[in-house]
Amino acid sequence: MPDLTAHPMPGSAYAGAPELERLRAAPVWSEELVAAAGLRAEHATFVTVGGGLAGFTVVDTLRICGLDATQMRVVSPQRRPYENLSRLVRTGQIRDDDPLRSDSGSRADNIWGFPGYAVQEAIRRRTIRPLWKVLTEPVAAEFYNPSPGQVFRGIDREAGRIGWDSMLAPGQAGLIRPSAEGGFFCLVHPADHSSPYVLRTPYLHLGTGYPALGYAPGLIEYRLRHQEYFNVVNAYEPHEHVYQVLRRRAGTVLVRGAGITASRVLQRLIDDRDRSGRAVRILHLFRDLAEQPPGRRGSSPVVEHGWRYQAFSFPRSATSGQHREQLAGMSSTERAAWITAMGATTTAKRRHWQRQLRKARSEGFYQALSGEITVMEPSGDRQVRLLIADSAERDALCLDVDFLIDCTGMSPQLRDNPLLADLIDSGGAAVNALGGLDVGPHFEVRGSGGEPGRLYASGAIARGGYLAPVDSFAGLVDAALLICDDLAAQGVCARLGPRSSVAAWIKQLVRRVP
Amino acid sequence: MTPTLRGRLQTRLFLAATVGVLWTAIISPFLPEPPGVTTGMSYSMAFDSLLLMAVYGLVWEHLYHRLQQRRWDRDWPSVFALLTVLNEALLVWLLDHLFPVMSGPMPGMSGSSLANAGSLGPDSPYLAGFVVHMGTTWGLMWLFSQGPMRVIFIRWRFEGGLIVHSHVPESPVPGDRPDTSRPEGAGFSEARVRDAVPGTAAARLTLPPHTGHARVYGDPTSAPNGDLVEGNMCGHGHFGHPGTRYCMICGGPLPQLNGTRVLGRRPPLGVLILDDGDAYVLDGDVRLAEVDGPGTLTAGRRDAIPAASALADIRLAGWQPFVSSELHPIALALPGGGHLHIAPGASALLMPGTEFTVATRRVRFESPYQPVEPATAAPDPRAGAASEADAATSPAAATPSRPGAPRVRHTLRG
Repeated sequence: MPDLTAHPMPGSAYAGAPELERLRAAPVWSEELVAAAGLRAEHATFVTVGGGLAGFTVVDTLRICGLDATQMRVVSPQRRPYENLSRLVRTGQIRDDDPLRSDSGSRADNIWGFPGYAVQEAIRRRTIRPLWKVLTEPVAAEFYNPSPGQVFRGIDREAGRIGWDSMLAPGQAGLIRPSAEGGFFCLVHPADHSSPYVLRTPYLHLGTGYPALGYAPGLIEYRLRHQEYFNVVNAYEPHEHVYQVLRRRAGTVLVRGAGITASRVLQRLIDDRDRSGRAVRILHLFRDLAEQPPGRRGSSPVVEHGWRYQAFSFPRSATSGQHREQLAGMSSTERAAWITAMGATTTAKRRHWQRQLRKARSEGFYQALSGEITVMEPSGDRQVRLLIADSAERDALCLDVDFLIDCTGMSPQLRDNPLLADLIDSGGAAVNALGGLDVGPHFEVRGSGGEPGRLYASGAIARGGYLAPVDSFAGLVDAALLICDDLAAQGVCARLGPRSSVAAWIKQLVRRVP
Repeated sequence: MTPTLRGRLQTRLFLAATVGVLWTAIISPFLPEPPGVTTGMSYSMAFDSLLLMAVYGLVWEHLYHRLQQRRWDRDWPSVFALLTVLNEALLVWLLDHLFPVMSGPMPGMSGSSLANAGSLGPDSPYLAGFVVHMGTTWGLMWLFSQGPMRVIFIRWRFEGGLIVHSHVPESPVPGDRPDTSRPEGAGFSEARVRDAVPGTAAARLTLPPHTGHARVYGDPTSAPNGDLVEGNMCGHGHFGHPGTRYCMICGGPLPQLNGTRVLGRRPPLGVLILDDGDAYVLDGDVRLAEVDGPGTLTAGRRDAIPAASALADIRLAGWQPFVSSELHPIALALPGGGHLHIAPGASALLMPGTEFTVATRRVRFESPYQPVEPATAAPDPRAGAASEADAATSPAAATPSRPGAPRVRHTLRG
């Protein structure tokens, strides 16, 4: 069977009218070309494509640096910047008041990170517990983690303050091309299905986020071959039915993966089991139970029962501090190696999860397995038969399970996004060693053309660049500041110095329009 | 903020020179000094201590930096920064006596103060003033580093505590440019994909945007009647729901606005979960019945179960399932917390997460096709009975017309 995942078909899904095809064929556009295609053109000083948190942080920072809302456009199919994030967070079994894997000072809605989420929660709930946690983390307490509810409320507030809605150009970007006159064109398909139009801008930012949910090849093949969507699921797609069935009857579920999502899924399964009292058996498949992470020295046991523990996706010093500084001085090959090693699948060591799994192990309804699934097919009585080959080359294990929840993570493949695939194919961007867009120190896309204009990219699509945690809240703000510094150097906006920063911070505190 | 060595040194000097100096100037006259110590002497002792703390702190910072290298994550928790006042103040206290900044008798001292004036121990008359000064100054400097520093120097927290910050190198590091990878074979033919995928070779009609004309792909007769729905194709050629962002088969993105709409065979819409945990995949019209007598609920194809034993029917219109019963009223518990009651003969839209009760049997519907905007754009299930046909997104979908169906009686709570 051919590998259906690696090579999307160009053009088929995005086929359009002949005039759009003519535009697609041209690697550089000009005013005349756009006019000849009969497309309406609008101008904006800054355009961001995606409308998620990467775009939000950049627009927020630009507004704070003095750029007017009327000069910016956000091309986005979503109304709120966190819409897609909130869907993924919910399907990943994090409810609105559960902890996220982030800290108090990492805020997408506050570029200063002060006051942090902990201070805000302490004031709102009139308790010093969050403050105590922040003070003693991670020595005497676990890290303070904000909840999705807190994060989304904050973003709503800031979006209202900076006039996010007024900048929205509801729609989806279809094509991006440099302009012969400098700057960029972005073809927009409006959300109301009216005729496409073109946005012309000297400074374009891409923040389209994870191009796809990374389904394991075995899962795709299983679905294609057997047309079965409900017994084998990916943790990032809605799979509430699994929990609902197991609340009503006994069954066996296999969880694959060892990341934070696997932790959350296990918590949900065990919580439900405790509540319903059904004899649910949980099998947990690790790739290799005994594997040791590379590059770790020093204290604290970080590997236990197959899990690798780490408070955040990357150590905090990669967001700010020594590792960030080191990374900035590395070559791209060194960076790729470092990011791969430090960004490997890990989960947070939370006491609640530790307790639950200890209890589950002692009661015998949780069992950790090691190996790779080699065969996956439906078996009788609506079950799934799995053949698991252990790396120790013992006999393969044959299992019949009711459900398989695949929690192996999302891997951004830029080519999955037709807009980015087209941009790369038309020579407007290159891909780095880790599969992200090749960006410079200020997140400018290298080789994009359009000079003296600039094309920037931040968030998940800029993975493998100078910053390791590109898709964390703090990483997004860091990227936004670097982009705005670059724009300030070109006279687009003011650079945030101590005085303007303090003034802008006070404005945000009293919720005045920047 | 996890500091770098340069960041540590700069931050230390900056905080001592600003917060430290300002606070020392404010508090010095009020420090609990022994009798005989004038305000001027108090100022001098306090500022000398501050200077010693700042200067010798630079040595301490090197030690902390070395310790930080022993932590695998190179983090330096803020509580460490707070608690290091203990060792640092002890050193300053010793240095104060060594140089001496505050040692020996002062004019006007008498009694025990005079006797203990040279003491390093807890009975030193200078200790109270020293502790108050050091404790409050350190505390304020630490507090300032936890918040206001980030506001004044916005890049400070990202650059490991650097105040005079160096820019990220503008010129690329040697050997920095990677080999740009251009995956080969991007030109997969549609036919090859379709042929390789059993079951997706169903008829596909493409509906180019803004034209209203459909193009036919494949053989429309190969799809069962009523199973064609309008949807999108992901980049890999998989057919999917027009409102979802990711493909159900490969997780790839589905074009939401600029894709060509396609008519394709409808995948299963979700699962019905019966009260005993039995799950039934909703891939066509379904009938719920107590076939084997009261007590055992059975779900099966609608045309395979006689209407006489039916409790309820679930019929699919486009991408949406509707529940109805000819004989029984149905109570629906909606995912948002609302409730809806429909009379026999009427039908209601089933949203994912809806539980309905018919003749004491409770059934839940779950589906991967969640509303795109959970909070605002969820279709109103009450609209179901009135405009079932409108709700179908496909012109080719089954659009059951129910003339003369009774109006929905609904009570919406919560």
